[in-house]
Amino acid sequence: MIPLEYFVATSFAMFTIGIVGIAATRHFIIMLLAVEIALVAATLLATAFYYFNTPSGNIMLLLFAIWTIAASEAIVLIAFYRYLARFEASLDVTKLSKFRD
Amino acid sequence: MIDIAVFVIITAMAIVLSGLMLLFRNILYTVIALTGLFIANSLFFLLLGQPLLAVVQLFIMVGGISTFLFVGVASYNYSRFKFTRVGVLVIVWVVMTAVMLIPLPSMTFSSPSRAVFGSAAVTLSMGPSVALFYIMLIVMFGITLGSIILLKRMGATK
Repeated sequence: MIPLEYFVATSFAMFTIGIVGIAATRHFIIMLLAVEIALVAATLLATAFYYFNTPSGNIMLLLFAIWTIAASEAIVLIAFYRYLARFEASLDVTKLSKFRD
Repeated sequence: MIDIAVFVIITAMAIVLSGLMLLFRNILYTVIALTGLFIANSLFFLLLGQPLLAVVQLFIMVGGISTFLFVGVASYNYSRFKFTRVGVLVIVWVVMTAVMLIPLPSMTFSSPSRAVFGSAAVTLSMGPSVALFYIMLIVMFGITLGSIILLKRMGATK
């Protein structure tokens, strides 16, 4: 039997990679994919706690909410590709400020 | 003992793929690493005795999102980048993970219940000090990340 602490530590490590990935990169797509890592860590933590300590609620609602957010994010990404391809813009987020004009 | 070894292997796979995802210079490789990460997560679900969740994860994440990303990346040729700062990534990751793991040894978890959907509830014990620690940590994360993203949005440079 794998202890719950192992799953908690793993999901913390993955979640931190996702959060730090947002901070450490200037690439727009990588920032969005780092959010995906954080979401994956959240699903793992939720499922582990559900497995070890069954809550009164239903875990599927939470997981489907997370998966919906993740899928929506990918669609936003595709829309952003199209936008950037049309204007030949950079994916460097520090240069996004020029879109204010 | 075998399940612990399998868990360690999957954990190493997940963490290495997460890190590589942020460090690869070609974004196609990044998407491939992301796909591997999703598969590792499905294996975690299998270890937790939730095969349905593992299959749904594979369908939604690997099938849907990875295909979307492949199509997007292949269509618009945004493949090269060199923006991730490796030193910042590694240092902040180690520090943040260590801080988040501080209360873990003192936590008391109730015994595993071999949960299936609809089984009896077992209460989880988390002291108020631990909860307060994580709330403070989340607030700090939020403020720090919000500031960084705001600075990036404003176009701040070194």
